Amino acid sequence: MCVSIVERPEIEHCWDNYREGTYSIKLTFSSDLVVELRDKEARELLVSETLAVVREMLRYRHKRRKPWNLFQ
Amino acid sequence: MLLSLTGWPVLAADNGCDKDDPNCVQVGTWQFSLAVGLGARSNPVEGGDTIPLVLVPQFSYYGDRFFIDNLDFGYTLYDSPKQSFSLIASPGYDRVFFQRNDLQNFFVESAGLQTSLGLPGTGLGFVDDDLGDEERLNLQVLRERERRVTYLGGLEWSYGFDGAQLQFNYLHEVTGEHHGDEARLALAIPLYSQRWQLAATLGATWKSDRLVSYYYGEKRLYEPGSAVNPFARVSYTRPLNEKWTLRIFGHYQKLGSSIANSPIVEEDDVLTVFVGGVYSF
Repeated sequence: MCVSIVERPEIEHCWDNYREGTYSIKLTFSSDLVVELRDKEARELLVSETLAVVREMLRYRHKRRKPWNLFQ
Repeated sequence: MLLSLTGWPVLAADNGCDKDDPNCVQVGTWQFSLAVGLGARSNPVEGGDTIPLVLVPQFSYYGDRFFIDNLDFGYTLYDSPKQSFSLIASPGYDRVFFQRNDLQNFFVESAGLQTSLGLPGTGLGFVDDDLGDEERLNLQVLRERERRVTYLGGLEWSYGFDGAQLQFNYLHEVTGEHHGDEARLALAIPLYSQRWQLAATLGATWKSDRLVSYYYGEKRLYEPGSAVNPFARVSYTRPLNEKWTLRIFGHYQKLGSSIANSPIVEEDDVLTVFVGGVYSF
């Protein structure tokens, strides 16, 4: 079996003669990713799952309050 | 498989900030602006040159807690929609009167903008001819002694209510030059706020005797006490478009007597004016 990411064709990992496995990778992404598991020989799609980006992690805070600043 | 990302709270309380609040800024970003106009910084110290204010850069950076605000930097301990509490470090501003190349003459804050009203000096009647040899030597030292760059560290508390902003700082000199203290208090009051804004600010700065002595005193000649410098400011702000803002202000400050009476100080109050625009990058 091989696991791959549709949007990242350079990423693929295969197992020989295994019925289960774990593949860990660190990714940075800002849009959904589709992860596929395929048969290594026939390339038949076995299962597909979407890794969805729900919300961007932007944080906001108050600017410094400066009553006497002349240019703000 | 679903990935859910949630924001981290900045501090213990929800700070109430979002991208649509003009008083808020995205964490991890730099802000740059440039004021372009006509203004002046004059020097109450004898022989000081008037410094024109034509191009005045401003910059800031805000991390989750750490921030840089021109030449100030700090660490925010508490931030909520009403108030904030931070540790800050700020340069000692009086040096701007003695060193033309002090960075605060370029990254200008309110406290550093001075211009002369041309009023008579109020020194203690120091006339060189009346001085003895030792006093004359001490006066020369007072005039020529180097005032080094110093930083003051301490606390800053800000509180907002009904559109007004109250702020209090207490700072201690941490760079080992004079170990003086400074306290700053200011209240900004909105007078009109629609398409354009008119605001008034009242405040005062207290400087300890050690701080005043470092800049304006000399042993066996003039040994001043602490000083309180009250100020008042009126400012007009009008956004012109997404990038430009029209800015007009007048700032008046009265020097405390222990500063005004120094033999090297010629004016006892100051006025700052500026007319121009601020461009935000």
